[in-house]
Amino acid sequence: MMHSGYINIGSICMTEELLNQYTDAVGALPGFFGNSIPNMLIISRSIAMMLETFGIKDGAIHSTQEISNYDTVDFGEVVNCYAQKGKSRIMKDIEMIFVSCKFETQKAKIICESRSVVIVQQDA
Amino acid sequence: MLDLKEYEKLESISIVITQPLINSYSEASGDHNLIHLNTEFAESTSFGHIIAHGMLTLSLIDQMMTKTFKNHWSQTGVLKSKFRGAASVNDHVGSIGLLKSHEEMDDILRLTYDVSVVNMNSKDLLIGGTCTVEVPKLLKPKA
Repeated sequence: MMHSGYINIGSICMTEELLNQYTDAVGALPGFFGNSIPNMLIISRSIAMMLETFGIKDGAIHSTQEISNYDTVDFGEVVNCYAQKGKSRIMKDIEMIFVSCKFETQKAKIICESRSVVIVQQDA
Repeated sequence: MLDLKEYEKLESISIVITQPLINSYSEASGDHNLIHLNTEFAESTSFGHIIAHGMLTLSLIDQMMTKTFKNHWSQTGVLKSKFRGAASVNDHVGSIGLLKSHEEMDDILRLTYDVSVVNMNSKDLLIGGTCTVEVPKLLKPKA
């Protein structure tokens, strides 16, 4: 379901391979998450999609991150990622970019939401 | 009266940041921002060297909450965090979770934690924030 003001920035198919890759990449022991796919995996992957969609430059760094969890997904489910870029704020030599994301399955079950602020140095 | 002793302090999760771990996280997340991967580019930023992805560092808080609260975290958890510093290669970083407040609602207990990720050696704060999670009153966190 398309949310007003949000654009579809991509989809993620949940697989065991993806979970294993994420588990290894965050330094957790194999099997740490069991068969439960952490919503953080979805949000982590959405950051790159969001940076690409909104043309945010290399050198951008995270300032704040909020996450609201509502449900979990199973292997084989596809999660659609929607994002909305707020009005940027420029302070001295940095630009603050506000992005809200919603994540839902193809059956329109909302999994989680996130709100990020990223900072880009104007000369970066 | 409700005994909250078992909820007071969460079990810490810690890792050592390495370049292979950062590379692995770049692949898993699709975030190939040069500030995490390219020495020359990183040296031109205000950090002056390669830093770990903020979301990699933040994952320690997610792991800490997951370890204790399992699906209750995935289904009711709210995280609010602010990045205060960046983790560098060879930094030993760890999460901290201390119960800040609780609220009883019928059969549910809403717990709010002060959470952080710190450099375990220098004690520098890298991330600060709060996590809120709802659990059944009978849940024993470390059972």
